[in-house]
Amino acid sequence: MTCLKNSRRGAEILTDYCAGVLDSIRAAELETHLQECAVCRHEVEAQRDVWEAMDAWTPVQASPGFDARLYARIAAEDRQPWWRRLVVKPWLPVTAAAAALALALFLIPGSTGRIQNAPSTTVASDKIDLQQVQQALDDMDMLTPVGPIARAL
Amino acid sequence: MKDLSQPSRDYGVQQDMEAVAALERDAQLMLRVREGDETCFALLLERHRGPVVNFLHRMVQDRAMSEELAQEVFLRVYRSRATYEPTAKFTTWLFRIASRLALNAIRDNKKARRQESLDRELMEGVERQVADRKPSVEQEMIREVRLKEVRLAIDALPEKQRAAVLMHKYEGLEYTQIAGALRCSESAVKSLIFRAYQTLRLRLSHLSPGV
Repeated sequence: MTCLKNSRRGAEILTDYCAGVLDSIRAAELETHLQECAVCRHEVEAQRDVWEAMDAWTPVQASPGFDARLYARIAAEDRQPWWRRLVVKPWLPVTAAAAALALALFLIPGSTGRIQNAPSTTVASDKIDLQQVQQALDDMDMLTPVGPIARAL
Repeated sequence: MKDLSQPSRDYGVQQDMEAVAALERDAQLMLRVREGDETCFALLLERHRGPVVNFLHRMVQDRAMSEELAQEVFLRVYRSRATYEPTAKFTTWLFRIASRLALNAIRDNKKARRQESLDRELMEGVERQVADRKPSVEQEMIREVRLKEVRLAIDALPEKQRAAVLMHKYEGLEYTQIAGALRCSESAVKSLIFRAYQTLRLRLSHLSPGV
């Protein structure tokens, strides 16, 4: 086989091998290669060292009252009337405000033109970072109930 | 010699079967929760509480915050029971919620608090360990230094790399699952993970036994 560094999937083979999830045939082939390639051997050793060092971070246990607190929150939510549950959804007012603004811009004659011609708004919109927009959309997505997220997956 | 870059068919089939089994088990439980079976929610909580709490703890490195976020994850799972559809592996969905909450919490603030908490927890961890197993002082100091180095190195990773590598290393999620959780392509996830490990190899090279 070619060296890990020269292989298109070298990083994946290295990671999977050290994680113990590389299939036995490919693992055996890599081990054969390692006997004759010091560069790859060094890569594997370095990755193994990291893997073992990370094992030092042992898992924590959830606190004893975790489940009780969760069930108390669930019970508190279940006791709320249906309209109250709607009100506490933080995305609802934001969505409503955005919809109202969009509607107002659409209905008021010439409003969109004025906004487009306003120099300050144009300059501001030019400066909007696409990543910020994506982040804002992602954050909005998190505010929606998780059901649709599951369906989207 | 066989090309190592080609996936093994048997391995792929075995992975697929395991994935289907896990999908069915958790999805069935969640579907029963949808029908009002509270016991199944308790089973899901029992199965996934540990991994979710640990993932969040390693992400935000604050015990109290990680528990609060974990509560929010399971609360969202419960809230969504009526609309749940098993279109993806349950774990993927669960870690998607967890990773989004963690990333938002990290971006929100708490850097200073996290550092204080990290130091405090490290000290508490040392005290607990000394009391429990009584290793030598020297062994304990070495362990403490290694752990702190690892935690700082992971904490220094970019947020998405951190999330990806934690799900890969500690939760054993597959690339496709991590991609689903982080809402990006499988190739993007691989790139995140490999870059993260590369950075960790450099940052933690001094911890190697031979050095």
